[in-house]
Amino acid sequence: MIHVRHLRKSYPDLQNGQQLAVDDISFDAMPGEIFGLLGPNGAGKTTVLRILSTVLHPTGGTASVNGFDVVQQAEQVRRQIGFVSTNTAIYDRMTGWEMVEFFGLLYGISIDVLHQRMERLFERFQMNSLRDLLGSCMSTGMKQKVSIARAMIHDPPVLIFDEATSGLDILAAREVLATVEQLRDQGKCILFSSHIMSEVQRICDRLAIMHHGQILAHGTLEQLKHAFGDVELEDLFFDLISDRITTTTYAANEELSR
Amino acid sequence: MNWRNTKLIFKREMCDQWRDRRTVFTIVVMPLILYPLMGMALLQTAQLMQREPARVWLVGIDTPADQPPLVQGHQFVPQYLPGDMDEYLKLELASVDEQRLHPIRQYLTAPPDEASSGSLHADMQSFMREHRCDLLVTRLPNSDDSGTSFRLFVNSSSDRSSVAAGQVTQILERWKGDVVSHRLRQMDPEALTFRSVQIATVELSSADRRKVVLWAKLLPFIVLVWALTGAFYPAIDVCAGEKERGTLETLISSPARRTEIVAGKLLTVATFSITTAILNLASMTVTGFLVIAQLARSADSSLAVDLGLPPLTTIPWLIIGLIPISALFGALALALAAFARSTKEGQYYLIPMLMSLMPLMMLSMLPSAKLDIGTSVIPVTGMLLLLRHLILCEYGIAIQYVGPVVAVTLVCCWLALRWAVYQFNNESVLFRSSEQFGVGRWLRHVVRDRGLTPTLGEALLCGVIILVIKFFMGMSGQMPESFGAFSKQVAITQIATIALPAILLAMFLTRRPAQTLKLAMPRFPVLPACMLLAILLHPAIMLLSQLVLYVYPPSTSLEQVERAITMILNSAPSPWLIVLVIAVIPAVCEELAFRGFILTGCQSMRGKWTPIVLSALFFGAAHGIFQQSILASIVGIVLGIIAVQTKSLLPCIVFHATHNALPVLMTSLPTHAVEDSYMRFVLEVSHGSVQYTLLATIIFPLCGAALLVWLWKNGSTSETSARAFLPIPQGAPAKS
Repeated sequence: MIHVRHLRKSYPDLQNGQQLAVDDISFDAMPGEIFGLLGPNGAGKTTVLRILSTVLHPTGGTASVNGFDVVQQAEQVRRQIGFVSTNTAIYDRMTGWEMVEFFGLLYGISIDVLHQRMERLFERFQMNSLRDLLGSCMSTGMKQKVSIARAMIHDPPVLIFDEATSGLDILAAREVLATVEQLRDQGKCILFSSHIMSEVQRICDRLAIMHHGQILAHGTLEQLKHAFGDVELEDLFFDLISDRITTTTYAANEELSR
Repeated sequence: MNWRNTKLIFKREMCDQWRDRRTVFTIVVMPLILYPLMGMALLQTAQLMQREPARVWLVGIDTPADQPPLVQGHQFVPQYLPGDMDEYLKLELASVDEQRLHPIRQYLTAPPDEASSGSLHADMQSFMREHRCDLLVTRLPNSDDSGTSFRLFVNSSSDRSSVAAGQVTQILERWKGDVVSHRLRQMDPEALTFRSVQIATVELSSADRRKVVLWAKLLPFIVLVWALTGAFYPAIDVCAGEKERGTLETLISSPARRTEIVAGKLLTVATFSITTAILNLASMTVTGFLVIAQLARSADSSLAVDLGLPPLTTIPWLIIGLIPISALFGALALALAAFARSTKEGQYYLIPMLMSLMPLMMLSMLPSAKLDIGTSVIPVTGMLLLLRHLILCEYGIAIQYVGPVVAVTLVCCWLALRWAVYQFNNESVLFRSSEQFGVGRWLRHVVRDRGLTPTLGEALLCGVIILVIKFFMGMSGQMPESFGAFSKQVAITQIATIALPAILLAMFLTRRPAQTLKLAMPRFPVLPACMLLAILLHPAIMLLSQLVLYVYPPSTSLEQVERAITMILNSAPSPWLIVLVIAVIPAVCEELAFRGFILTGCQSMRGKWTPIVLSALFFGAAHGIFQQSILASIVGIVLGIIAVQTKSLLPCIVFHATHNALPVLMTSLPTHAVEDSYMRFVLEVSHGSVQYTLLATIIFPLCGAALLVWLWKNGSTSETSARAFLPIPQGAPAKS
């Protein structure tokens, strides 16, 4: 469903010259699974997801979503994905209903089908109280609900959640996670990035640990734990990113790739 | 109050502002670049805004022997002329008895009361229109025979007529003063109470007409200023505001294409711009009308200016004109606002935009501004002048220039829209994060991360640097007196303002200066082919030059400069020295800059033509004189083609030097040499100067075009076959 090969992205930086935000990463994500990207802030997770949502162009490598290339077939790719991120806010001067309707129309959905879908979505996410509420009057949790409804309105096979629970209280965050799990159960391919260990541990089927633009390790949670000597995810993550066990990392990666 | 805290806060705020490169740019860099560029643009457009001299008819103006003369030859006596007014007043002397004055004689000789009544206006106006006379001055003996009175027939609805009336009144007043002092010198006791020279003005245009003319001038200007301000704030909100609120990423990750997004936003901005303009216009008119009516009723009616309401024809024309102009302003505002990270930053860009567009609007308000082929191709100005004629119902004039005005406005709209779309496609613009800026840090970055060849930004920087230095050098330079001094001036200007910046920038900003400046040997036949190409294309360029001079006649001051230069060149010891000074040196220096650094930098863009046209436009702008700039831009395109295809500067230098040398060599040819040799098929002597024959003018350019096609196909040298003059450093890391 999602295939990423040797993806690179660099930016010019005044201080340090060309900065590699994404450094030669490869991974695959399949339908019916939640693929997690776990990494500290600045690891390059958002850049990878922005490239997959065609908002950024890669400097090198390839990526495809549902068979469409993110550079060559950007428009088709955008039809295959729903993108929810901390950076994809909702319009302040639009009500919840208008916002979802606007994006549904941009996807070219006919108004009748759109309204039927919207009714279902608003019902499912218990958003009926947000129908006539302006974006500016909503809480962070309400806004995130509208964002998810907006991302799902065209029923895409791929959903990308970039730090989707950041800033949410525990109740709202649980609700988002439950939604993501439901979507996985419907057979969607889900990319879920986070820096919160417990979330990733709870919902991701497979995950990749990112740091400084590279994937340090990837596999199922069990595979990772096993490869690094049956440690907890939190310890494993900390060891990986703190450069203390570089040699072990290579050895473990060897094992993982076998 | 604790001064320490105040100082700490001051330091923090200063540091904060200094680290924001937009602030640094707006406060420090922009004034350094903007004003010289505006000055250059002003000088260029001043060439277009040549004040056409006002035609003043002096009827029966002979001065009696006891008074100092007013007119000498076909000019006013210089001592009465303030400044350089003689250029602007073209006199036509006539006597009252002349046949051509027959239709209006009765008005010229009649006493004032009668003259200002009846069919005077219509007859005089049609006479003046027919004879293209802007102001008619007659001199009549006073009824009591004690002196004379001048009567000025003026049509105030025409700027030229009213300006001429003002000037002539000034001249007559000075003359009158002279008459008084003349009498005083002759100890004439009546001199102090001398009233026998009277100056009266007879207004030919009706008050209504004058009001309409004023409205026609004022309204388009006001409406466009509102359209500009009305475009900017919504543009900031829909671009920078969306970035700030985080909704832009939501929108661009939807299936809508960037072009569609920009078009949608542009329609919004243009609608707001049009609405702002119309609402302001309506509110202003109604309020103004009510206030004036109120003032007229009040005791102090001197405050009331009776402007009346603008004619009804104004509204539809203003709306029609507003649509493309609002689209243009909207697209420009969108492109600028897309660059801004926040609405606050967006506000910074309003000033430069206003500063660059306002002169174009002000231009149309100058008394000398007139719709002609020259002004119709100036963006915004042309539209304002066209609207004026449409409002005045002068459709005959308007229809002639509607084509160029609409074409130029649409082209500008398209370019501005392309720029806005480019901005929306540019991720470094859309996802600019705040960065710590420091001049030292930035300079280190520029040198450390320099590419093999310059970037587009560096090419534009080089162009702007050259234009700015050239502007200041041009302002401070004086006309040299000898050929030696002239040569020195040309050499210094060329090397210091054109070649040196390009060479220095190539050395510091690129890893391969030789490749940047295209210092490579082309294939052998290319060099003679380029020399031949310059010769073959020269007749066409000469013809084009005549056409340009016909459309944009040179000003008197320009002609004076040209005459001075010709005299200096005539004093040169040898024509080959002239060739060196005005052909070889400029060819080398200008090619290094325009086809070297600038074109190579522009070639980082896609396609062949955009870089060629951009470098040609810089080449044209650097020539300073409008007429030369047009020709230089066209020659620049040919040079750009040669440079892009041959990847070498040498063929360009050969073409450029040959092109510049040809006129010199042509004028230095003795007449008999032209007439008695085979050259007579190509050249002919006409009015004392050597020109191309019709045959050459037709056949040469055709052959030239064929040769250019050959060069396009065969001039191309691969990177490896072009032998570099200078070794290219091996292993230089590429800029990714």
